[in-house]
Amino acid sequence: MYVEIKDLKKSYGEGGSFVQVLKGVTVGVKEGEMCVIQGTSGSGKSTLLNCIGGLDDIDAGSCKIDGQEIAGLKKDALSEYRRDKLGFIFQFYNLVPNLTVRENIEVCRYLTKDPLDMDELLDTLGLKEHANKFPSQLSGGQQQRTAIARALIKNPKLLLCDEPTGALDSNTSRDILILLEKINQKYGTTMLIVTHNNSIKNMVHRVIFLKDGEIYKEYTNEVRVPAKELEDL
Amino acid sequence: MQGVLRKRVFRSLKKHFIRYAMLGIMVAMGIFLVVTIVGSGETLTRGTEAIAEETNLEDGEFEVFVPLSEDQEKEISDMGVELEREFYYDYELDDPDMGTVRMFKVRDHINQLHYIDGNNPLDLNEVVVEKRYAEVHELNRGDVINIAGNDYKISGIAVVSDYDGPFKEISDTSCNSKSFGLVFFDSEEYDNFKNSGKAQKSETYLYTYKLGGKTTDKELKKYLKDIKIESSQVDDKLFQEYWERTAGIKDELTDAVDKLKDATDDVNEAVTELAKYYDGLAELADGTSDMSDGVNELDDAVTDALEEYDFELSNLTSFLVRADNPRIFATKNDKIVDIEVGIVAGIILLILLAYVISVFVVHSIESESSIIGTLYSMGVTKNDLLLHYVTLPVVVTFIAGLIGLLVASTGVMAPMIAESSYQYFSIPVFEFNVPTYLIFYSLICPPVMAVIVNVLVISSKLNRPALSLIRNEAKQGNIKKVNLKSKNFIFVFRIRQMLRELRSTLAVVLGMFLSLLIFMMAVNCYTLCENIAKDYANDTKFEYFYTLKYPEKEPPKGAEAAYAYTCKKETMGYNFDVTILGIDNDNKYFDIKTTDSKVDVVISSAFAEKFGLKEGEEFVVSDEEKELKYAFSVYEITPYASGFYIFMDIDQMRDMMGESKDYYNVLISDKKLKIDGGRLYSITTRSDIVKGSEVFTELMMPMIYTLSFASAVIFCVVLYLMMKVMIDRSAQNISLIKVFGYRRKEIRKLYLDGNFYIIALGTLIVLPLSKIIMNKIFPFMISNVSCGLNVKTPYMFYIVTYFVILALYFLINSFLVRRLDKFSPAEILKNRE
Repeated sequence: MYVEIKDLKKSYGEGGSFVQVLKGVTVGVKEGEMCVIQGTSGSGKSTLLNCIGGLDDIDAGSCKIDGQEIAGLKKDALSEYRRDKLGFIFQFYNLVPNLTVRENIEVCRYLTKDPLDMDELLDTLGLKEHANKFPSQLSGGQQQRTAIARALIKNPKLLLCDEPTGALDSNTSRDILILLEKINQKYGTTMLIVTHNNSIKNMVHRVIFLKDGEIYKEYTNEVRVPAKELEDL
Repeated sequence: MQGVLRKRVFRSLKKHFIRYAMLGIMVAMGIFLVVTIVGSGETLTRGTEAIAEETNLEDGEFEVFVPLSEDQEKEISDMGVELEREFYYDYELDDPDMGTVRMFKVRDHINQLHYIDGNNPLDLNEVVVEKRYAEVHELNRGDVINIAGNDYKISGIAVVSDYDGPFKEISDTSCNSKSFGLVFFDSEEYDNFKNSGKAQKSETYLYTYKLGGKTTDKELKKYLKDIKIESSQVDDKLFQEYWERTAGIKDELTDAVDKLKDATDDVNEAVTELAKYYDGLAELADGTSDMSDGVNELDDAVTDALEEYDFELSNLTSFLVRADNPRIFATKNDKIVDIEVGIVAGIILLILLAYVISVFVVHSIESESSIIGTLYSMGVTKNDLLLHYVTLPVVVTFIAGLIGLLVASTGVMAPMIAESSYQYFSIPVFEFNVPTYLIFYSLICPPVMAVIVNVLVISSKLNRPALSLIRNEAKQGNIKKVNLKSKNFIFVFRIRQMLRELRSTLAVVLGMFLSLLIFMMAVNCYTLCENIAKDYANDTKFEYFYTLKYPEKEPPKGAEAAYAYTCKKETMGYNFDVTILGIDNDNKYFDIKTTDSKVDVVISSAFAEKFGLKEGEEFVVSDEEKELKYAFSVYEITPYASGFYIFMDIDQMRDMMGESKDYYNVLISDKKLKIDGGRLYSITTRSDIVKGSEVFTELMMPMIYTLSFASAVIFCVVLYLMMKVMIDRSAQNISLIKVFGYRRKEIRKLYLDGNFYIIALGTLIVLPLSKIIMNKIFPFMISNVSCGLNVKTPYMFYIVTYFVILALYFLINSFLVRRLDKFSPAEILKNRE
């Protein structure tokens, strides 16, 4: 397993405001798999993603990524881990407003010794003609593609996507999903996608349902629907 | 990565150009002022040091009763000491406007003349005039000056390093070149004057020396002190008369006892002889024999008693090492404070500006919180971002420092800063030079301060977890969560806004404090000068104060006799002259009641202020001549500003100093007295004192204007920038309440008017606080100045300043109100990118 999670627990607050968000989640994702994590609001899906991404501390349990235990890692080590292995995509694109598309991507290019080819990536993501534009000159979809490019440039083995289509319209969402599919196929990137969107589960290898901080249901799609054929996005 | 982010730095600079330009101008202005003020100080300091080197400045000087003999001079020379006679006469010119000139020969080796214009007198009827005296009296080379009835052509205008500060007397608190200057004669013409009988006072036998490394000042002084002279050697009738009256009493006493002894011996002999012939005289013979024995005992006792007292006369009358001579390096000593204050004030200003910049950076970080969080999630480290965020402050402050340095290096304002020195001290005009350390200061301090302050301030902002940054969770301090009970919405809103903008508010108050501190420096300089001028005029009740070398037996009618003795007291590394003045209780020129004690004394307010003395406190002064110390207790402090004085009863003082019961050496009068010039050390007139005190104000005005202007600019810029950043930070909220339907006036009430209370309340606290703090710092700034510290400021000043600050606030506020219109209600609806 590329991602191996065992009995992962996470809580917030103290006393009256104590909430046990993850109550002992055990789950695994193989290398190169696209996996969707679904669940209602407050089910703990974003928290699980953040724990895997080393953005949130783990209270108990184990979380191994590519064989490396990240539970209990110090701040600097977590930073190194993210630098070496992870790419993040968020609902909001969080691009640096006064850097061009190319420059926004370049920010992360310097984090690795072995980055992907910039021009090829821009071409793959359909951003070539927008490379010198600033975020304010782009549509939402173009901005999200820039955010994806920024996450991919350092050639991460694991891509964590938190509601990547949450702020996009249906057509643009489809474009983004096609893109993610393409990246998965081209670069073999393992992907964990947190989403509310019910249709996305059909395009991925594995689906995990969370409910009240526990795995409610998980399964592997025998037949995957290509992203371009997804409906009700 | 930094390469990419660097592009962003320049784009941010471009976007916020006005903001950074204003801050840059402030930094540049600060560096410009520091380089100009400190550079001017260093230029004058180094210039006068170079002149001192070039003209072979003395290591010290001394005065003697009788010129040293050739043998004595040779002995001193054998000690490795180079000696030069620099004898002089003080001559009051016929034209009362021309004051007194001190007449010297042109010097050969020590304290040579540095010519500003012209050269040595080539003829007997030529003289060289000292620069400041020439300037004040508009004398130029080729002009004629009449001295002692002779017209002399001015062959040159010069300065000498031993009169860098052209004080007439060592104890003078200020120089006044209107009433005193130096002239240098050809050696032969000086002797002609000496022999002409036109001298108003006796010649002063002043020697200057260079030690040469073999001998110390102390050793030389001891050697000179041990040279005893016979009173008859002193070629001064007035001295002879005085000596006879004082030390001469010894011979009279010995003669009288000898005569009495001879007479009693004769009587005893005669009576013993007679007793052989007449009965009944045997008893008388016994009596006269006893009387003779008694007189012999008296003779022995008188001889013993006289041996106890030192009636030998030392030739040395004064000894002054270079460091204690206020005339030497007067400019340099005056500039020490400017240099130190300039450097420190520059650093404080840079810290403030760095803090203001950090407020902007924090604003950027907060508004880019989710971007930073995202970058963290990708593995970008805090140090990467820290480096990025401090780049702009470093670049801006470095460029501003460079500009400030370059502009200051042209010396554009240096003449204005140095002008007051050139109009007071007798020094050549030096070309403005920036010392190397100021170049480093200008280029390194601004970016270093920017790095330190920004790293300290923004580090905690970047320390937040990536997730917290991505979610843009506002970190609320406890103070911001304060529970406000008031039901008044506007009041509560304003307080909340104030707490939210605590950092900017702090910068405003800090800026106000710093600008007021600088302003108070100017105010203290001004009030000190004004108070000195006022107090000197009020406190000086006499018209003439004569210090006598050889007083007559009885003081002349219409004059009050007093006894002055100069001691030394050190404070803050400087050794000041303190005069112990013995006066009668009914002295009409001093409204002082002295005590019948040698310990409990009344001191002048100037003395108390300078040395921080209070009633009941004890203090010690040193008598360097006798190598003694006198301990006193402050009985009372009397308002007297014009000098450091210890007042005591004249009889107590005579007794303490071992002087006779009618001794005096000072005459104080409201009319000019007819006193032989040869008896005088000096005459100080009320007019001299008052005019001298007014010089301070003229001297300080350029500095006062500069500091006041700088403080006003700092206040306005900091207030404007901080209020602007407060509004910018609230852009989204302002848009939101516009959506709700709030009008401009209401928005102004909520977001801007709260600042009024910060300014109004802040000023109420900061205004007196800055004055109190400056009053504490100020004595260190003028630690080398020999005057009191009366910096009391009228209450009206505080009221006027308070309202001026409010007026400046309203002015800035009126500019910023327009900014509220810039935020459209659509702002809140926009995507964050």
